[in-house]
Amino acid sequence: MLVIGNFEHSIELEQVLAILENGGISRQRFLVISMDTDPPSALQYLGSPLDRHSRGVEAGMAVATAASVVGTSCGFILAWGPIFCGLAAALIGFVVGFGLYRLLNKGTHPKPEKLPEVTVIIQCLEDQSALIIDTMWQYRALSVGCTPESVNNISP
Amino acid sequence: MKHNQPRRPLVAIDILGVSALHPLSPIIVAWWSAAFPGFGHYLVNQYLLGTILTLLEVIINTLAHVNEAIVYSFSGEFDLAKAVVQPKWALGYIIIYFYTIWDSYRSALAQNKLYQLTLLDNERIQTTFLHPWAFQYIEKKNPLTPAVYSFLFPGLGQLYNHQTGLALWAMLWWWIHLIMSNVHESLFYLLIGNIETSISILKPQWLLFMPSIWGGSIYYAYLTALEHNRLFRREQSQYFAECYRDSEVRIFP
Repeated sequence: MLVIGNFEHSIELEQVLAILENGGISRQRFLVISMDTDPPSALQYLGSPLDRHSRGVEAGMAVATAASVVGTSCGFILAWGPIFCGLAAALIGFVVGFGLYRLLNKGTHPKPEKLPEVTVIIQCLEDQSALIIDTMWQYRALSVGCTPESVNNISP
Repeated sequence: MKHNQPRRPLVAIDILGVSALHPLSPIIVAWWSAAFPGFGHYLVNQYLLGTILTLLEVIINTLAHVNEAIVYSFSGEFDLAKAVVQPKWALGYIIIYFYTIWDSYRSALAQNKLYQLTLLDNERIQTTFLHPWAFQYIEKKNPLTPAVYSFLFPGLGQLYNHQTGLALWAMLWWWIHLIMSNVHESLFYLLIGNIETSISILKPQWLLFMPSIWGGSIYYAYLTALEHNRLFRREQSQYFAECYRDSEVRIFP
């Protein structure tokens, strides 16, 4: 039968594979597939970091730093003083920079926090499946499934 | 051993930490050079050059009194601004300042091309370096964690990201700026409500370096953590592809 698990890339994933392999399931019984979470064309476009928010943070931090220098300077003649004015300007600058970026790029849909980056398929005997499923859940599997013959064997 | 080295490595790890090629927006790199000359060079992995440039920035800016002139200008005290700038140093400062911005911009453009070629080469990535004095490695992390630590004390985010050399340099300089500008004392006076003293003990020449160091450190910490996450995924994919190449799993029996 087949047990299938979805994972993020992580050290825990390598731990699952190592534990199961040491537990007697031979390496040939594993099929481990890394999945692209962005279409391959995204790689071709340089200067586009592939993660959510990072462009927005980029814009936010740049505006925050500039605003903070101006705010700190003006703070020497304002009632609140340079520290509060500098910090407040940085905060406002970040919100403005980040907000403007998100506003201008509204069309792009945010992705869910955790993506199934790796799919692991293990061919095993029916009485091994419960252990495999348990181990996968223990080491941060996102989702686990198996072929229907063994429905009775799925641990609660 | 030598011919096993990839032609263009994506990652270099040694006792001082992890360096990696990454895709960058050249405009953003130029902006960080403008905020603090040398920061753009850190982004394009020119750590030695960046360190020298930041050092030059602190020394020449202080000799030319540029930061004080900025404070006076934003406060509307233009006569004071004119009086405080030292022409002996200011002209050379400006030339180096703009060269630095341009140089980091063109480096980012060049490295973007190298990055793309290196990705297509798909050579195996080194992710660990064990030395009797240090264990440096690339791990997955939440990018907000180093950003928060750099927010509290610039350099700590870099320390968390296994950029030990840069982190220690940044922490040393943050201490120097803290001491010279009196920021933390000023903060204490603010918290106990003594606003006048809190403003008067601040030293504008040193204080004005700090927003850029602070912002740059937070941004770079966030960026590096994202980059390490990408490298981790990439290396693990390479490993799985190699390790499970001979799989005998038959999905349709």
